[in-house]
Amino acid sequence: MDCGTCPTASVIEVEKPAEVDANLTITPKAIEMLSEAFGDDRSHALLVGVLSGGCSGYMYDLQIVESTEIDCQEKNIDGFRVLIPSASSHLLDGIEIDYADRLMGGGFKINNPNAASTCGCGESFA
Amino acid sequence: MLYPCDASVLIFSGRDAVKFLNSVSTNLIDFSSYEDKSITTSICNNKGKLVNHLTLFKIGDAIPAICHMTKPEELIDFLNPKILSQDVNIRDISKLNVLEYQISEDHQNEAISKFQTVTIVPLNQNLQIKITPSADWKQTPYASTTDWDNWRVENIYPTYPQELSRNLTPYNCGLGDYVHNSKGCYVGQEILTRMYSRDSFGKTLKRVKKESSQIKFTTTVGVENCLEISK
Repeated sequence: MDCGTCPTASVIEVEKPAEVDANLTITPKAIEMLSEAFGDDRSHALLVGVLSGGCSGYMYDLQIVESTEIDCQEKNIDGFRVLIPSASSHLLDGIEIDYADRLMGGGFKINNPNAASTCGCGESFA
Repeated sequence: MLYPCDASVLIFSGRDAVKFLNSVSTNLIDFSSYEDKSITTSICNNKGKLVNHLTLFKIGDAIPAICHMTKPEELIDFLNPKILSQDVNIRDISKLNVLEYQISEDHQNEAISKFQTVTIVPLNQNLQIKITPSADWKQTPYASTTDWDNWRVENIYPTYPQELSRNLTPYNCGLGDYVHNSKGCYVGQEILTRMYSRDSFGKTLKRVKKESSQIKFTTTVGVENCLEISK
């Protein structure tokens, strides 16, 4: 097999959607829960990312990170550093991060006006 | 027996390639214990309908993917927007290679094998795909379409465009064995898992006697039997 490592087979260029200045909001309940998670240390940041996969095509990825190699937009919301990967900004513009306080299916929730559909568990969207 | 194969070859590479392929396809992509074996999987949309059907294997850090469809553009258009900030590169090497089906009843080796520049990728116990660099390829006589179709009917082997189509789920067209039911989330999982857990697959691919086949459901006609997709 010719594996194409020679220059004849070039990498297929990925058409990247234009980066947008992503606006996001965090509900008071989610702020309260983030405060518990972060404690007094605000040097870390909340990374709000999107990965491929989930039942619907895209999956939210929330992480508390010190830093990241990913190219991100940095926001300050209620004293929290929030990082949004530039490559996913078009999918995350306008989202609201909420916290659902219930025994089943509780936890951080993302309400996304860009989502045409979401899966049953709410963790992925299309 | 050799038969021309309307497939294309892509190479996935990058740090996140395996994770990415796992997130968008139905089977578990794990080469850790199958370094020299192929893994067949389906890529579906969020409705669980087939976008393409791939056979993956590993060469070094790269993952060649045989796309069982001549033109991979639709697959690439489906995958590209999902890469986002992941380290995944896709390269189309179809024009550099010739792909042929090879039926070898005594080919018991499940591992990928190489003979000089030719790579043999097993698809199932008797069927392999032979990948030859275009520069080294010499035409040899092919089996007739009748023989190939008859072999497919007897072995219930689906191909594009007869059995595989974007209107069907993998369960409908004979690719149910390549849906992993405990791997976790992937695109289309919600629908496919519901079908599996309710044992409700709708239409399925089956081999039926020619005389009892229903023309409107028949996809391929063999000598004594037919393939049909029906309830």
